[in-house]
Amino acid sequence: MTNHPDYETLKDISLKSLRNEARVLNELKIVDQEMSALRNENARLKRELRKYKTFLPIKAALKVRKMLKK
Amino acid sequence: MTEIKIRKRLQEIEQLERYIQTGIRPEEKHEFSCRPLDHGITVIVPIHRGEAYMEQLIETLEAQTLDADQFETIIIFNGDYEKSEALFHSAEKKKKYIVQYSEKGVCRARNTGINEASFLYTAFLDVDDTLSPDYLEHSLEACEENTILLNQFHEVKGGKSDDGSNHINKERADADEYPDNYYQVVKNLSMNGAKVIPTKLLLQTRFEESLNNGEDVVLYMALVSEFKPIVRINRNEAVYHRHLIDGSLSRSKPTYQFNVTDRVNVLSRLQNILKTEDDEEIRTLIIDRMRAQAGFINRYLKKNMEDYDKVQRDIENLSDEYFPYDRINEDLPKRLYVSYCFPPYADTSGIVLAKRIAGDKVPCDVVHNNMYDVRSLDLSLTRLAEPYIHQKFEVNATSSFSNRNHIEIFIKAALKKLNAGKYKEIYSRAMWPASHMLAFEIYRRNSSVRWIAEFSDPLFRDIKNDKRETAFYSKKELKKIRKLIPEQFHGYMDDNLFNMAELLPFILADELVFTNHHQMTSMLERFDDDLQALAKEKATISRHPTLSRAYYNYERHHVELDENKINLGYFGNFYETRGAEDIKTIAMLIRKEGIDAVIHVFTTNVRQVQSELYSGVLKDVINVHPYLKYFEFLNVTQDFDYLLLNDAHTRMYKPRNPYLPSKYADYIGSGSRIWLHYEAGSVLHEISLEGHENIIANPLNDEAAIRDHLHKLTKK
Repeated sequence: MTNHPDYETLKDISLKSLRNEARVLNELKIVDQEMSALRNENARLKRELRKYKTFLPIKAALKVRKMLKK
Repeated sequence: MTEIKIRKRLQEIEQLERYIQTGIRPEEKHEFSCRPLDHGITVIVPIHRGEAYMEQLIETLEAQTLDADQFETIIIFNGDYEKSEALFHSAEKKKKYIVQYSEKGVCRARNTGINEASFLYTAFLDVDDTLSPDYLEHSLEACEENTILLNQFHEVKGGKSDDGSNHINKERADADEYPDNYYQVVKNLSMNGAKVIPTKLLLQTRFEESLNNGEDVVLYMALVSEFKPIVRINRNEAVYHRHLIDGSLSRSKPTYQFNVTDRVNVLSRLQNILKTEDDEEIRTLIIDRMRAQAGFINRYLKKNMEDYDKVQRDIENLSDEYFPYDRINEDLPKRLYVSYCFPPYADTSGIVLAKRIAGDKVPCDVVHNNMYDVRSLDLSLTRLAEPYIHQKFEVNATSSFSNRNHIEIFIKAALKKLNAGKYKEIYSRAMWPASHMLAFEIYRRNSSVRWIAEFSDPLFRDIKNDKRETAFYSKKELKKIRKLIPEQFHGYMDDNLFNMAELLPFILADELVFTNHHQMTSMLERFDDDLQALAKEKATISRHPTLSRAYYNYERHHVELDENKINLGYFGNFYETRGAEDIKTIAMLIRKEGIDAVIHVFTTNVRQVQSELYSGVLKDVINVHPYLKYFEFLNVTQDFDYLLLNDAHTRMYKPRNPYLPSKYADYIGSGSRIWLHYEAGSVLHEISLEGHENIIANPLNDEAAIRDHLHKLTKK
C-alpha cells in the first residue's frame, strides 16, 4: 500500500507553494514599480542633459571637442 | 509590463489561500456565452421622477431616423415614477418600447435594461437629455465589434447649446478617429452619455449597484481593463445633448456625502481594478481618474478643514500600491518637514521621520535629497507618511554627511524648489546635518515660521566622543548670522558644520525634540547655563514612534523559523561599539548550557558576520540572514520568541550613553518579548526598570545573568 500524505500535509504543501509563488510575484511587482520609477528618473536626467547641452559654454566646448577630434 | 499577469495572479493566490484555510470557495468564473443579439441599437433610459421631461424624451426617440426595426428603447421605471409612467403610457408612440421596473437606483435600472437588451449595441440616455434625430442611424453606421463609439457631446444651458465647445467634446474632436491610447479620450471614458457600446461587453461587466454616483467612471475603467476595447470617434453627425439644470450634482455645494463618502466608494472600486492591472497605459488612465475623484475630496477639505481627521479615517484602509493622497492634500499643508533622507530611500532616520508624520496626522510637504547614491530604494516605505503628504520635493544633489559643497548645493536647490514663505511650521530632523542647515535657511527667509528641530543623535560629537569638524560657513556668512543670534552666545559660533547644526536650532528653533534625556544632556553640556536653560525650556523628550499593529501585517515575511526551538531575533549591523562579540557570548552560552534556542541575525553584511560568528561550533546556534525590508522586518518581529536589543558600548568614551536604539519602538509594537542587554545607566537600562511584562534584561556581557535568563526562556 502506498503511503499517501494526509490532508493537513497536503494543505501545508499547497500553502507553502502558493506563498512562494506570491513571494516571487511580489518581487516581480516591485521590479515593475522600480522600473517605472527608474524610467521617470531616466526621463528627468535626459531633460537635464538636454538643458546642459544647450547651455552656451558647454555647447561651445562640445563643438571645440568635435572639431579637435576631426 | 509583462506577459505574466502579476497582479491578477496575486489576487487569485490570495483567494486560494483563503479557500485552503477557511473553506470559502473563490467565485468561479464561468465562460461567458452571449445570447444571440440582432444588428441594431438598444437605448436604455432609467426613469426616476422625470415627469417634466417625458414629452421631450418621447419626442427625441420618435424623431430618430434609424429604421424602427433596428432599435428599441428600454424604459426602466424605478423609485418615484407614477407620474412619468402615466405620461409615458398616454403618449402617442410609433417606435418599439419595452417597459421594465426595478428597485430605486440608476445603476440597478441600467443593469435591468442591459439584461433585456436584444441588439448588438447599447446607448444610454438620461431622461432629461436629448439626441439629434440622426444619432442612432449615424451611430449604427459606425459601430464595430469590440469598439466603444464616441459621439458628439453638446451642453445645453437655459435652452442654449454650446455647439460642442466644452472640454469633453473638444477632447473627442482633437483625437484621431482611432485614438492611439485611452488617455487621449479619458474624459469621454468617464461618462455615460454620447457613446455606443457593444452589449456583449456590458453583459459581462454591469454597473456597480452600491454606488450612489460615479458609477459610469467605474464601469468604463472596468471595461477598458477587462476587454481593452478599441475606441472609435464617430466622424458622422450624431449629437448627444446634455441639458444642464440648476441643482445638478456638479453645481451643488460640497457635502461630506457627495464629496467624500461617495468619492471614497468610487476610489475603492477603481483601486480594485488597479490591483489586477499590469498594463502601464491603463494603470495611468485609472490613476488619472482616481486623481479626478480625489479632487472632489480636496475641494471639500479646503472649505472644511475641521473634517480632515474624519476624512483620513475614511481613507486609511485604502493605502495600497497607489492611492491619490497627494491630490487629496493639495494646497492644504501649512507644515514642511525637512529631512535630508526620506522614504523611498531606506534609512533609519528617514523612516523615523515618516513615522512621526504618520503620528502627527497633519497635511504636509516634505523636502529631501535624492539618496540613490548611498541608500537602497524601498518603494513600500512611502506608505508610512504618504496619506498626509501633498508634495515631496526631491533635490538632486550628491549625498553627503559633511561635504560643504554638496550640502550647499542641496540647500540652494531646495530653496529654489520651495515656496518657503507659505509655511507656518517647519520640522527638521537630523542625523544628516543638512536637514537643520536647510531648515535654518528657511527660517532666515521667514522668521515668523515656527521651527521644530529634532535630533536623532548628537551631531557635534561622534560615538567615541570625538569632535566632528567640517568648515561650512565663510566669515562673511557668519557675520550675517551673528545678527540673528543674541550677543551672549556669539562665542559659540564658528564655521564648523556640526557645531552650527546643533547651535542654530538650540538658539533659534521654537521647539527641540530629543529621543531621550541623556541625549539632551550630552548635547547641551558643552554650553553655559543660560544656553542650556534656553534649550531645555523648549525641549521635548519623545522616544521614537511605534506604529499601529496594522503596519506589522502589511507585508508577509518569508523567514523560516523552527517551531520546535526558541527563536531569538537580532536585527542590525555590527560596529566597533556594537560588536558581534555580544551575540557570540549569548550563542556560546546557549551551546554550553544545551538550550534549545537559535539566534537569527539579520544584517546587511551577511558574509562578514558569518565569518565573525561561525566558529564551527556555533553553526547550529546562529543563523545569519540578509537584512529585511522594513515592512517584512516588522512582520517577522511578531514571530520571534524574543527580540534581542543591545546598547552600544559607550562607557569608555562618554560619561553617559546618549543613544536609544530606534528598533526598541519597532519591537514594542510587535507584541513579542524583548531581551535587553544594557549599559548601566542607559535609557535601555531605565526601560528595563519600568516593569514591562514583555521585557527581560541584563547588563551587556553579564554571563551569569545571561545564563540565568537562558534557562528561563520559553516558547511564545
